[in-house]
Amino acid sequence: MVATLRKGGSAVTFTWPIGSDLKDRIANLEKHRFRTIDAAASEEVSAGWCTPQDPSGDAFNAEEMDAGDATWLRIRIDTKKMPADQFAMRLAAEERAKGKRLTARERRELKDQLHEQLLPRLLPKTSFVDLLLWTERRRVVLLAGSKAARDVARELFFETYGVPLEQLTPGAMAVEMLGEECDGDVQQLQPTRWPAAKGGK
Amino acid sequence: MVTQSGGHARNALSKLRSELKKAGATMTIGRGENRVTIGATEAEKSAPPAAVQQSFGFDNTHGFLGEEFLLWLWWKTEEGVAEWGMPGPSGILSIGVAMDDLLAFAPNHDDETRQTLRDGTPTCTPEARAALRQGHRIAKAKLTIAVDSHQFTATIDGATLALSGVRLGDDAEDCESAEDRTADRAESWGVLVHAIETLFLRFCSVRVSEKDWKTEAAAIAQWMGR
Repeated sequence: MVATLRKGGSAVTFTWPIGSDLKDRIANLEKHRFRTIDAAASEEVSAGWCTPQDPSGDAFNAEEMDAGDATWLRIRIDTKKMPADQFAMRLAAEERAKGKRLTARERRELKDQLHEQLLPRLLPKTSFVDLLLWTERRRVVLLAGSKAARDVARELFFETYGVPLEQLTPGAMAVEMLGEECDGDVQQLQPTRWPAAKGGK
Repeated sequence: MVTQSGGHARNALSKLRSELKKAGATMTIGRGENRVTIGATEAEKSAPPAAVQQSFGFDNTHGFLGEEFLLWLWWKTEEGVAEWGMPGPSGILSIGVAMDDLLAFAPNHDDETRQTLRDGTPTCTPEARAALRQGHRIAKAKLTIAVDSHQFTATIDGATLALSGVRLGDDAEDCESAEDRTADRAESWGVLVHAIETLFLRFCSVRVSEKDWKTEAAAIAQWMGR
């Protein structure tokens, strides 16, 4: 089934900090493509680029990233985490057998032992974060609102292109839209003190 | 690929590595055979500087600008100015704005009660006007935005201008394939973002002019006191 772009949700806007088109730099995406942690024996988070049509991250076909005037990028995030209830159950069983509470060291050892036994058998939880890119307008829209998604996108983007992805906050957007010659004017702005709020007219 | 392993030490090391890379710096840790260098690679350090990278020169987000922008939009819509022009590929497009369903106020101090008005037209309620008169800022507002044939609803966070609860409206009737739908939706996302930027630019061009803002702020203050 062919993936389609979502038609709602949250969005945060960034500036596209690189002059050239993304398609000229597709090798960068391939270098930082998603890599599986299915067989990992420790708690891990793996985040990397994939295409909307191929979530494995194995192939990067520029045509599959076309979304009209925009380019559709996708980040796949796999998280492998020990289920808390499994640890709680094993801990309770150990403490019952021993007849007293385990020491901090014993608890840590039990946890490590469980990681080794269970994590290779556990499938990671997968999520996707989509980004839309308009190179001419120098805009990247992250189709997610959480801080975790923003952090992953920023970190992966920096690792991929070596330049930070700047979020367009009100101040940054004002300077960008009014022109850098207004940088000083924007910096000097202070919140308006409304007379009504001060009890005046 | 970003990989983080469990354990505080590894997390701290990962964070440090990331910070060093951002700074383009390196750090050597350990001794003898265990000596390792972390941070930016030689290739990253020798990479050409990001000539097109725009630095705004200040780290202040100026969140109050976004909050005042929402107040300004509210005032404009109540004063009957709810349509603006936006340059589009085939001429000037008309942007229409209405505020409804959600209005959240940010208190002046963290320990004050937060007020959120939901459903209907909260901008018309006496509670909303009272909140303004008490000096509360607009934290979030839900807008219905119409641009040409597109219609959107979105909640804008004043301090960050981030969008949540966005609904793009129905796909165009001539969309026959998944690729068509994706292209149509991407265009809609682009139009929405562009429309909000256009409105924000209108506000900012008044806001940075001391004379213009003095006039508009006086009119807004008068409206707030009604």
